[in-house]
Amino acid sequence: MTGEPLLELQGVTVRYPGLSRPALDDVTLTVRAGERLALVGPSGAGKSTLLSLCAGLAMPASGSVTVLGVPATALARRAHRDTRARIGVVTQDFGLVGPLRVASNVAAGRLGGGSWWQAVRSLVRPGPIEEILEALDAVGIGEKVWDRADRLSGGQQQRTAIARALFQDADLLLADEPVSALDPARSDAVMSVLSNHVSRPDRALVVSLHDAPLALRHCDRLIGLRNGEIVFDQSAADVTDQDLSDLYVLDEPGRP
Amino acid sequence: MTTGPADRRRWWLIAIVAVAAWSVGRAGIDPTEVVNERGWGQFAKFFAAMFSPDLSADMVGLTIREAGVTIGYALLGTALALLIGSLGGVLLTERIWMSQHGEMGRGRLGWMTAKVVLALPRSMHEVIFGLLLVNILGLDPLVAVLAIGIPFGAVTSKVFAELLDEVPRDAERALRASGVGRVTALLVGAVPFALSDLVSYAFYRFECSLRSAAVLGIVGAGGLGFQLSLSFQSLRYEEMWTLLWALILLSGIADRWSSAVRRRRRGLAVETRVDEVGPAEVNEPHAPGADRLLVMSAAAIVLALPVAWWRLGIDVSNLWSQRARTLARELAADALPPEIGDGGVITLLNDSIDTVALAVLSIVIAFGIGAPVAFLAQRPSKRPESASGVLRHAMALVLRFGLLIARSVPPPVWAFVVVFVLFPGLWPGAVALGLYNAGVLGRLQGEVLENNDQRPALLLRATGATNAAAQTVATIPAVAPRFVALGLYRWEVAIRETVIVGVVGAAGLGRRFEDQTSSFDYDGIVATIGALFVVTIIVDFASAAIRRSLR
Repeated sequence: MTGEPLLELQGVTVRYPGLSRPALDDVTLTVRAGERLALVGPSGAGKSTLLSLCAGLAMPASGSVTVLGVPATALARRAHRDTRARIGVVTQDFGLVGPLRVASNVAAGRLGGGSWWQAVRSLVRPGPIEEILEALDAVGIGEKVWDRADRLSGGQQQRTAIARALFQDADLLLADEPVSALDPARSDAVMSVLSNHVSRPDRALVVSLHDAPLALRHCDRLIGLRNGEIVFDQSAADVTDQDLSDLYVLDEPGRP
Repeated sequence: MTTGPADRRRWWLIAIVAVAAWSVGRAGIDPTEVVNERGWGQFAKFFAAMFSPDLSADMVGLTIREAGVTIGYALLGTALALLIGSLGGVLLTERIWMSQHGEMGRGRLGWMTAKVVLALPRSMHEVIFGLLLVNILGLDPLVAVLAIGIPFGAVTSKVFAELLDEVPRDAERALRASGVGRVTALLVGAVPFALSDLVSYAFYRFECSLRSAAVLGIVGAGGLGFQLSLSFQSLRYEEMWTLLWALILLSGIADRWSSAVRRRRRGLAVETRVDEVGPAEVNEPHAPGADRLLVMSAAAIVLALPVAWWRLGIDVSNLWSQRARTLARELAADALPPEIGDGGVITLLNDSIDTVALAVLSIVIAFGIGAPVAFLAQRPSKRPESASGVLRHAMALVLRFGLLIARSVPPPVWAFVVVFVLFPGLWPGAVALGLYNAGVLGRLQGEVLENNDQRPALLLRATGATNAAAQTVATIPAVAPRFVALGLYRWEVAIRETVIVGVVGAAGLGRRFEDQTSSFDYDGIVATIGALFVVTIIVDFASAAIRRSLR
């Protein structure tokens, strides 16, 4: 692991109003260029929260987050638009614009750094259409390019969101459960596509997954999260079955 | 071509533009025939008086007393409207008549019947009800309550039904498939999705009732409206503005109240979704125990109803008193059979077409002002950090206040002001209704923006898009169908409102109605109301068809 750090979290804690336990508790970690990192762990472990922080969609209560060399607190500023354009995000709710066609949704991936006029034009004539089709074909829904996004199935919407991130050509790809709505064979294929996307040495992928075997197959580093804390952080080759079964064991009532 | 197949929405857009152009052509575009250069003096004088309302003790006391009457009418009228609206709303949804598989079959007959029955009171403006009822009940406060409650109840039914029909059918279909009855399925599977819109609409209706209670002053119902018409006849602008500021204040309070209730609901929605949504939404302030506001608002209204009832001296038995029955019989004898009168069917048809053009024109003006202002007047989500941020907030505040003034000044007053500078015809009526509806539409569209899912826009910003670009791609396409749907809905309302700008000789059925009321030509009035009804039905079906294709 010698690549430059793309993502640095230092002692990060996040609390949600009304919840006594923090969603993330004093988390420190560094993601370097060239890495494929999977966040694994049970529901409510803090995987989505961690990814939102990295995308600048949420702010920590304490600690610091640095994304592509920019402090997350400054990321929203106009001066850092070009930095934000290098961050690709696939959220669990997909974040698609329902009434727009798939092509326009994918084209929206490149609005970063573009002008307003470009945005207007992308509504009428999304382009470059060959590249849009390429991104859609990579996830297997090229034939849906002119369909309305809200007329697609959940799995197709999810793949549209992934195609948008692929089309964006981001350096740091953050994907929250990107295959949750797909069948096993398709999940494997889509994970390969994401994994290939970061085959360039200056890129990194951070993906949260429920499915540990899938993570082991496609990522080279796994972080186990549980109750907002990092339980293990090791290379995929070193993760043992015991690590994983400890991670997913159900809490017994009465035990903390 | 790289645009893909054109969809139906594009054709509707072209059709709408064509109809708008036709309306402009019909109204005339020669400025020397439209604009009256000599009227600017009075026009300016009226607006100058805005800053110097009559604040003498007498005038302020009178204003407060009359405001109480107006509030009472609005409260009781809204209560009646919501009662009718909840029942009618369920009957008007397409889905309540559908089988489990989404087919209407024989249910279509029931749906059509409900639509036609409720279209009759909806096609009539409150003022028409007021004028007819005042002939039967005399100057009884019941006139105002019924005149507001009946047509607003029919309108509320329609809007409730449309809000429910916009909810995706999945949840309800699943319930129906598992053997749940259709009414229960609607209540459990659709109402919760539309609830924030339904509640917000109920509060918005109260605002409308306030303004309508003011308009009803024209037929002598009392309250702020009646005083407004007295001051307006003697051109005492300072007095008018005292009353108008009172109306603006009342509208503004109802407005703030309704947004407070709406924010409460959103807070709840966020709380239950902490687990699945990103924390972006959770940053919104959420007061614990926030249900209290809704409960207290409801309690306050329930307590206020009997007070209003008693203060206004409502006596329901007046509805079937000997005198009322005799007068109703006499009115019926006068009015039937209806008579088309001078000019025959051709003139009636011509006036009907003018009415449609007038309504189209007013909505074009209202949409042109309302939609951009709604975007610029959005409540900011966070505190401003820079000087330009402060400036933007200030502009948003001023624009929101402008919208409030636009919808608080009753359309007859706008008409009266506009006719200083525009020659009588379609234009002054269209501009008066356009200004008023810009205020209403801007507010409704602002609410659509507030309730709109911000996540796609946030995501685009997170990946480097500017705010303008994110709004253009993520927000405008998402809200556009609902913006247009609201515009179409206001178009239907505008058809009815053409009656109240008839005062300024605005052409169409409104002017005809105005002439007939001043000459007590009741059989003529019935024919005019009939024509208005037909026009409303046609417009209703056209707008429903367009809206369906937008969905």
